[in-house]
Amino acid sequence: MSFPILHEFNLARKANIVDFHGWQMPVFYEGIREEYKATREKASVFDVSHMGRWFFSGKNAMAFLDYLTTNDLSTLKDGKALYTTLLNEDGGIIDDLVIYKFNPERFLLINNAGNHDTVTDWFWLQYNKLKSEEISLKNSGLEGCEQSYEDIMMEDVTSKIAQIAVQGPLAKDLVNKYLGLREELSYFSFRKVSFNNEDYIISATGYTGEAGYEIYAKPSLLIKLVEDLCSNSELVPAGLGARDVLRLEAGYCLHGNDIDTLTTPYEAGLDWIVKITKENFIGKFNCTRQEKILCGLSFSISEKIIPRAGTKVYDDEEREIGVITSGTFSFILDRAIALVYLTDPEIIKSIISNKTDITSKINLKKVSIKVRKDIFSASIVEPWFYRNIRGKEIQDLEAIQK
Amino acid sequence: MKQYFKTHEWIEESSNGAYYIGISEYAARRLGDVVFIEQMEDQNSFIAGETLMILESVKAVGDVYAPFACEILRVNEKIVKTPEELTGEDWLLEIKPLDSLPELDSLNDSDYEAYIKKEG
Repeated sequence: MSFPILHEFNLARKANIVDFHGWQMPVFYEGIREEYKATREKASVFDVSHMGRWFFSGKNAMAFLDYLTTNDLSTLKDGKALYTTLLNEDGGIIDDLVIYKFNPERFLLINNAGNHDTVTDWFWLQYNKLKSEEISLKNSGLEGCEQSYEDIMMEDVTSKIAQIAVQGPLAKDLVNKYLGLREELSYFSFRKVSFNNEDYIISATGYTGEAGYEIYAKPSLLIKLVEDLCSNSELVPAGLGARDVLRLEAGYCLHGNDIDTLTTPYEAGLDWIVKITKENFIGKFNCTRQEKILCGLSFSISEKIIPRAGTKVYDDEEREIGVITSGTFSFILDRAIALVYLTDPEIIKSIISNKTDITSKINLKKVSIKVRKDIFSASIVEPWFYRNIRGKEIQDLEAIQK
Repeated sequence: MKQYFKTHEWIEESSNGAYYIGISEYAARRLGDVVFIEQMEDQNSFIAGETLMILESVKAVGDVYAPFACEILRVNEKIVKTPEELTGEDWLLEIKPLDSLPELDSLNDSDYEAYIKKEG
């Protein structure tokens, strides 16, 4: 059993705690709705120390990471982060990652808590293949890259360097004030900050659809930061419950629900983080497969239901056309929403050939789910609902569902 | 005095041999924010163990089970309209036993406390 860095703090606040992939995580403190509201209107803090963290360094680290993952690190500027996927040879998603580039020879990589053992095994498997010359980085397209495993260092720093996320419209100001920062970091930028002679990494990233920071530092420093800010500012702690509603409204996939090893990035709408023109990466030749397509599902306001994962979706002629992978009640849109994989080949063909507007050519305005004995009607929409990172963006569901 | 059940409902005598039924503070808290309350439309009499009402929260679904064969006399409309305000204090339904009340496998306050401590 593992404990996140705020475990004592969580117990003191009588958080509702559950086991999440072996971690004792808070689902909520005061309530999901309140913590959700704090994040959308002010600021909240999430203990995300359960995520896996790695340093990759050395002369060949970038070539190795570029071979392991789908996005392109070689063109990424120092001080920027990117979202990417780790695929198996079949093009299935082992995990989705964020990678930070300090310089071409040093990277910080973040993986999901539930996949940490799998990802660890995968990294070492590939490293050993490199060592035994089963694979080569010579064709990586990167200049000066030699066939050398010796200049790749992988260090699992999960227990050494912790991570919290401070999210919401006031989040950056609160943290800036605390750490004495003046500059505003742009989205997916990060920098090292020294405060009271201690190092912090501040990154303008998150999983809530709000602006804010993720902060990396020694566990004791982050515990103190959270305790200080929660007692002296408007910052409130938030749990996994609010986090799930927030990420679902923002349309962010959750590995294990919306993406897995049987799903390609093209199926999950993550083709934008696959640089298919890259010379070589694991899964390159299978990852464009689309046997299903991720869409959003929006219920009308009057439908009193929370769609749960695994629920089947039917078209207006009662043909099964897909299955829900995540669902919730959107507080900001006042209706049930979900992510759904459409699996009907005709519909997939139609969506692929007409990518910009998924509801125009096929009649997906009227779909339904059955829960217990009742039928609830919904519309297929784009796989995101609300974001407020660089200004508010809301999908116009009323126009679609008219 | 409230009587509790291992499925986390409580009942309390109202009048004329009827009972209020609600869910415990513990259950309300475990469930988190209730968003919808679904009633069993077209059904008024229930056998023991049947679902009387469904509470849908963001994270979970909670059934309110009939502790004995009963019919529904009254629904707490205020809570049905504002389910987010549901606490362990609120009654959800007023129910009346269909037959003479059988011996119930219920717990008193302190026994229920001990039971949830063991469970949770």
